[in-house]
Amino acid sequence: MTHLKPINRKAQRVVAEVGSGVSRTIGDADKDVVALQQLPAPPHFPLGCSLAFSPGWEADSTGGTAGLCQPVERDIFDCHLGCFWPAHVPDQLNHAPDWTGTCATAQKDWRKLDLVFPG
Amino acid sequence: MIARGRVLAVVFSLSVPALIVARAQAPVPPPASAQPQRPQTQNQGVSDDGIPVTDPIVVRACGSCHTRDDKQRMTRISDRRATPENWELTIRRMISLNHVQLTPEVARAVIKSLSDSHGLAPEEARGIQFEAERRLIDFTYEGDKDTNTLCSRCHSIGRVLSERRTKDEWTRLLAMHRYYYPGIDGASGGFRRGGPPGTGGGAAGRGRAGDQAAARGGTGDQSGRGGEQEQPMDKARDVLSRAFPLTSKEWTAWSAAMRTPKLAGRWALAGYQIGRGPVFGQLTIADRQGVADGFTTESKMTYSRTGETVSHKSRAIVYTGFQWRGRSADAPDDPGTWREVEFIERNGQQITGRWFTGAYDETGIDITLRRVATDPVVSGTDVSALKTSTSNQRVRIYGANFPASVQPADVDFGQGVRVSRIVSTAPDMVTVDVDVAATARPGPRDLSFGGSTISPSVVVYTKIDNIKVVPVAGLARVGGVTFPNRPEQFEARGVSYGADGKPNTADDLDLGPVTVRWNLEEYTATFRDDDIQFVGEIAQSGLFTPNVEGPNPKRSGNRNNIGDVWVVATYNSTGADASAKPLKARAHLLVTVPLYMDWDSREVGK
Amino acid sequence: MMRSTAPARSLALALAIGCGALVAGAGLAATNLLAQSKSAAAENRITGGNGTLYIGGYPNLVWIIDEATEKVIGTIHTKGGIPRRLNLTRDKKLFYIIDATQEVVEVVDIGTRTTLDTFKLSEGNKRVRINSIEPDPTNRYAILLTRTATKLTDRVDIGPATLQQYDLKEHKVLRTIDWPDGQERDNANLMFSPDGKLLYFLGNEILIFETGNFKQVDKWELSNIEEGLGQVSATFGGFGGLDTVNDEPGFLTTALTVEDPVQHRRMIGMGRIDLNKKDLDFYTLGPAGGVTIVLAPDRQHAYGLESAIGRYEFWTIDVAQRKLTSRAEFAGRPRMAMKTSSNGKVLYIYQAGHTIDLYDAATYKYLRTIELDGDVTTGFFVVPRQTGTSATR
Repeated sequence: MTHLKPINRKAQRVVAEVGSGVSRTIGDADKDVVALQQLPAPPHFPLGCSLAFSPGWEADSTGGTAGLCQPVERDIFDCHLGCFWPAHVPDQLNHAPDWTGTCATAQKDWRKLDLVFPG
Repeated sequence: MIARGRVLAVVFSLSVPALIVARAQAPVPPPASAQPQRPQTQNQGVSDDGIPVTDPIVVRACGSCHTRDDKQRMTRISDRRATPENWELTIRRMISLNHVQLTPEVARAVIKSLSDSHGLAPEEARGIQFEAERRLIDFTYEGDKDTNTLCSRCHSIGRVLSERRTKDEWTRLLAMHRYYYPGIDGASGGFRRGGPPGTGGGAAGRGRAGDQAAARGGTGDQSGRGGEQEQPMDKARDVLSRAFPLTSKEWTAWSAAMRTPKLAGRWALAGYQIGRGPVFGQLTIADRQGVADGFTTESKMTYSRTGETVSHKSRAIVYTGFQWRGRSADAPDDPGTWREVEFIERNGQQITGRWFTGAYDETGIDITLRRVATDPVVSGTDVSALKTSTSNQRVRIYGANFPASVQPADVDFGQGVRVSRIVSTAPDMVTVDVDVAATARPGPRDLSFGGSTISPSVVVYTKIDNIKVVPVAGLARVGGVTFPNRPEQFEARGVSYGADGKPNTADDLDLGPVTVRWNLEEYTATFRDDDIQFVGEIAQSGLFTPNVEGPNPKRSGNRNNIGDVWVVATYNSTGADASAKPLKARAHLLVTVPLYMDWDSREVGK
Repeated sequence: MMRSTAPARSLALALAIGCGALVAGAGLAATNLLAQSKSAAAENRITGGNGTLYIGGYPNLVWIIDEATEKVIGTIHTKGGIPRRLNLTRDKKLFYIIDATQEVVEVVDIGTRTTLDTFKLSEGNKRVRINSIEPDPTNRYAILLTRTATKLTDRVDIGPATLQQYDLKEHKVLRTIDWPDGQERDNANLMFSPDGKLLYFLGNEILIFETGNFKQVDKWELSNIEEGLGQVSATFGGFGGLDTVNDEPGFLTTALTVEDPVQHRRMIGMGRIDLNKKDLDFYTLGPAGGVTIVLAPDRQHAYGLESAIGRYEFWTIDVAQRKLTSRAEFAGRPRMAMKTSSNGKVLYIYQAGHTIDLYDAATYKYLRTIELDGDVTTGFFVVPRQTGTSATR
């Protein structure tokens, strides 16, 4: 990845730490991949995007989308029930206890989900 | 663009007008959990440094739970200073989760009052204006990387840096997070670690769900031991308490000097909108009757590249004596599709900030306002770069109070640049033709005209060595069916390597926007990557429009239309010989999922 | 790759084998081919066995799925709210369910599908969140890991993580158990010995407590079990949520990681922990990655699931031979968890959503998907048919 330059004078380089733990395979078609001891420079995550990488909301731990839930709607009620993305997905415990009320299976009924404006 | 009115699962929305005030209903009795209890923790009062709250509106709205002592200090409130946006978040939480009932009018009055009495000084706010401006930049809190990462797991670090609190208050802020989001101790937030750091492969991949691994909050060592090293949340609290304490000399000084700024009058507007180029105009600010620190504006501005003219009206409130928060008011029922966040300089002569719109506030104009009295004021030029060894380059200079009669010598760009002809004059615009000598030295130039100088104005360069794409790391969100999308506007800019001829050195020059051909290329993060077929399209204006949200049955695994791609710009310079290879540059674009919650400020500025 | 829900045909299976997909040891494949060549397609449908599958859903139920027909045959209605975590007792007769608020525990009898008890420790402005519950083998008491969050008028207070012994009959806390070494922990992976006399804290260091007064009586470190082997530690996922359904009582089979002292190479391996003898039988399988391993009911095989991004694989481990006998990529998806069927022939891939995918354990081929009419809220359990319990139909 090319060296990121500041976009304007106010910008500073993001040095977002990679979230703990998800192993990343760095290698090629060879199946016998060995995890490297040293991690390369961390990827870029846009400001405000979640850095909780299990598996990630906007981006996975590599900064891409391959590791995100497939599709997002499949796992979304799991996220909601666990209040896992408090700034991104309505939390069942506090702000949106009935978010799933009209929607049994998110993968099918996702059009019935509401955009929630807390407070 | 999907209307947001489609929603909602809102609890106690503030935006519903006249909702609560005159209702004759008996107040809903608070559930048992909110009954006043004798606090069982230490430090139940306020700190000695607590800032008194004297506004009776705030005391009345908040005093039933936040008790006041004989020095007029209210618990919690007196030990904190914050931006208007953060005060709004707190008040909304009081309403939605703590069963407080406030009318929108009272809530806005409380936000205003606390932003003034318990706000940030200009010096404290300057570095984090991007947060209120909703500006997507790369920003790291360099003071402590661990704290930066911990707090950034869920929201921008800017929200944290907009706070000043006592140590106890920082502690209570963390407790609040843990109360409402129990998972935050584990994989969701990483507030606490399950064991000593650096052990094992970690369990972040399975940190939640009905799966049993989540039950144990499994991060780190399986022995679950946490006591050997400081917990991440405790480290963050210590860092933040030291770096962002309640008391500061900046605030002490500002709170004494603070007053309603004198803004009424004329202002020269200079702006830049990525993808559309510079915009110039005139803006008038008037005091707003009946609203403390309230103002209205009217402006007319022109995009210099296309000549398109836009009229704009807004209503605003200034918080803390320098924080301008406005909303467009083009028609009486305008919901305020454009918002304005500006920083008023103490000398009252300049205001800078951002006007923005869009479901994700992604479309923005960087704005600079310069006060206009009787003398000429220069705002800027349409052209951003002047090439050496050229003649009759046309340049439009924008501003205000320009004299009717102008001589070439009146306009000064510095060495090697000569105005050969005044093409036309108007009070707010002078058009000139300019010759640039072969020997003109490359670099940014100041422009002086009529006693007003703008620095820098144009860049003198010898040749375009390369181009670059901004933003180099773009973000878009799918949407359009139920949830709004987030497009991303790209722009290509010319680059000169400067005198040393080497790229990426200190003397490189940004030459401003250039016209390019745009296309997308697959960014192969995995083998068999097929994002480019699904994520969306880029127009030749550089605007990327993402695809719709929802599972896509045409895509393997029923996946969403998300992915990452390269955005490539190709530049063929005019007049270059046909065999010259075009210049190319690219940016990374992450096309990702929507946000299902909108925490954005709704009341500030109203 | 196929994502359809159409039943796979054995013919397709045979073709797939012929097309060179990696298969389990040759003997197994040969047996399958022979079996298939004899009967009509319908009779050769590979099913998971004759047990019963359980998984929780909105807003207050646990689906009961007949393993042979893969149909939902009923539900258990939970009284304690949205079920969030199911804990199956060792005798496979009860579920202890924790709800989505983490405050309510519900004890459900699997055979009669009825709630025997619900309880919570929260009261007034104190929310006592139960992070995990481990009942003793006789279900007289349970060890709870709790944390209390108190809502005061103008602030909240979060207490420390606490281990408590809770009397399930009297519904009261009998005692608070001191943390080992006095160090508060956020997780406690606990397991009772089959006779209930000992309580194990599982981790890289296994601590052993007696259950009379809950004093620590012993400990042993996994990490240094053998000179020259290196540091052994629980992997990714580790002891949290260990599924011991197929283990012999008193034994734990799990994936462990070792870093050897010479090459400093990290490898993954199979560990069989004998809690009684404090012994560990360990052998390595290959380079370390993100693999979770489950023991098959026959205890002769174990299956692994590699879920690193872009590298989804099934593994088969031959326990008798002590080696990894096959490994194959499959299309998979992020966020998967795996369990074996009650007859060991099917691998269930689950986690969130409304589907459970079935794969042939022998060939790794995708078989079918069980579709539920709502999204799930808990983990997934395979309860083998037991003699002496009430009928599951």
